[in-house]
Amino acid sequence: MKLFDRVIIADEDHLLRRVPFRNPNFIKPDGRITSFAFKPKKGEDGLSVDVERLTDYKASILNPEYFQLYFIIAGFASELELDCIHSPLEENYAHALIVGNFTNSICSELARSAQRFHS
Amino acid sequence: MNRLPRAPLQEVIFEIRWKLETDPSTGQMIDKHFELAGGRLQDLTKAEFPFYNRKIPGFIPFQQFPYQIIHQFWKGNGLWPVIQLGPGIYTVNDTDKNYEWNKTYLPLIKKGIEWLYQSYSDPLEINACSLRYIDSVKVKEHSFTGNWSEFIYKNLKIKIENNFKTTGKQEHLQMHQTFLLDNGNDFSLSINDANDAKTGETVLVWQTVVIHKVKINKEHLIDWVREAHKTTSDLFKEMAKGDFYDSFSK
Amino acid sequence: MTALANRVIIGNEPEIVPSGYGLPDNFGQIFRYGKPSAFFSCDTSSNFLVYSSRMVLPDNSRNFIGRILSFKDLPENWDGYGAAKANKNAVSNAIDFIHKIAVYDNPIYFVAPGPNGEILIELKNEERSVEIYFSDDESDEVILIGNGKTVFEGSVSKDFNKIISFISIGEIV
Repeated sequence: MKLFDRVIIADEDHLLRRVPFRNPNFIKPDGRITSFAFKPKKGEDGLSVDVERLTDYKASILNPEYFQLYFIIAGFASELELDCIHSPLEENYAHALIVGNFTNSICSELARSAQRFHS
Repeated sequence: MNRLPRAPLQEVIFEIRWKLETDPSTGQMIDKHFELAGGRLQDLTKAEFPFYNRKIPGFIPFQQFPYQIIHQFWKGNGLWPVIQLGPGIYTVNDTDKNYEWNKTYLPLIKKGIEWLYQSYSDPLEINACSLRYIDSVKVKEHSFTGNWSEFIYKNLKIKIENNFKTTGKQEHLQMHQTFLLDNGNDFSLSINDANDAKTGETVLVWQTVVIHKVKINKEHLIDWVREAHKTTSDLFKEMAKGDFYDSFSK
Repeated sequence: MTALANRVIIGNEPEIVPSGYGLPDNFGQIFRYGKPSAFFSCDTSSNFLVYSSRMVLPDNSRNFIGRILSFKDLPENWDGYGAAKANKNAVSNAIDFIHKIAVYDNPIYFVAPGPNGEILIELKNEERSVEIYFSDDESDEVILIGNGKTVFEGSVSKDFNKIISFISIGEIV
């Protein structure tokens, strides 16, 4: 696929996010994940995610000894006034960015909506 | 006493306590006029102490806290000094940033006493008062070698000696002495090591308190606190005399 | 040691933290620290609280303090997305908060580092939770969540009592 073959992310698309579970452990005792799982680093263009239909578990998880995969639904991010943009990288065609105002409250809502993605 | 540029003072507290009534049905100590007094005190202090904080969350009834601080009236958000009120207790607190006994703190105590008495409609039966100084230094700034007994002896002239074979290296030290003064007041001296929560640095904390444990009239409070201040001030200079005291002037 | 006992924040920041003892039993051991002095419970009137080396924090608090301190040693990019190590100001403020909250018998539920050096502390009680964020720039933020919905946003310094009332009894006072 050529890098400029960008896709439109649909509301029903699943967007995958890696979540560390060693030290630090982003997974709470009740199985929910912390809002920090959806907090972008300052200076970044947005929150990096993978579009599930463009990738697979093994490629997305990077290292299953340190990370679990969770997904959110693109439409929910839109409800929070965030935009989901396919932004393929040379090494990762599935890469997308969620862009917008990532307040702690927004990140907390994203985390509450997130579900575990199993292999 | 001239202001020391690097004084170890962390907080000074002038505290008054008064007799509370006992609720015959519950046996609880109560300050009947506390609610109204709090409102009046806020009115009286608001021009100079506009920032209010309630120290105990509002959903817990204040009468559960005899002799504990409920209301705080600060100079500003994050700004000292602070006037505090609880059932049966009233304090005037300040820190080294503003503290000059004659220029700032004693005048504030005088004003504070007037505010207290204006806040309560019935006369208060003051049955105790105290003047407390909390001092602290970072030990690494004073050539601490790890030996607390040696450090305290060198800097505060208090000798603590174990005349038995201790089984390990001394790690911490805490001591408390009380003295009965000739004027009938009690004097309390406490020393302990601690850690700065922000930096983890080891510090030495010492507190000197002059306490009056019997009834005292409003008219005598200022004379009392002047005398208490002289006691603590003289003692501080005496204890810290030498390089330690000199270090506070640099 | 007089009742002023055991928690110090060196530096003249006012610390609006309750202290003291003597609550009735139905509040449990809300105030654990210090004991009555021979003369006064003077700890009630001081705002300068000492972190003594012998301070007996609850195990829960100590465990989470240890965990927060460990975040300072995380490698760069610990989350696989370029995260930075925990910021020392955020760590320090988070630990201060744990000391403050310890007296209220609301155990810490969860802590985590953020990608920009922040620290999160979470309290939880049934369907209520409180998320407290400590940033690298020394600011903080509080989010109160009830039944999965955000009900209040504020700051630790202004809304400390709201944190306590919400997590304890479900009311924002």
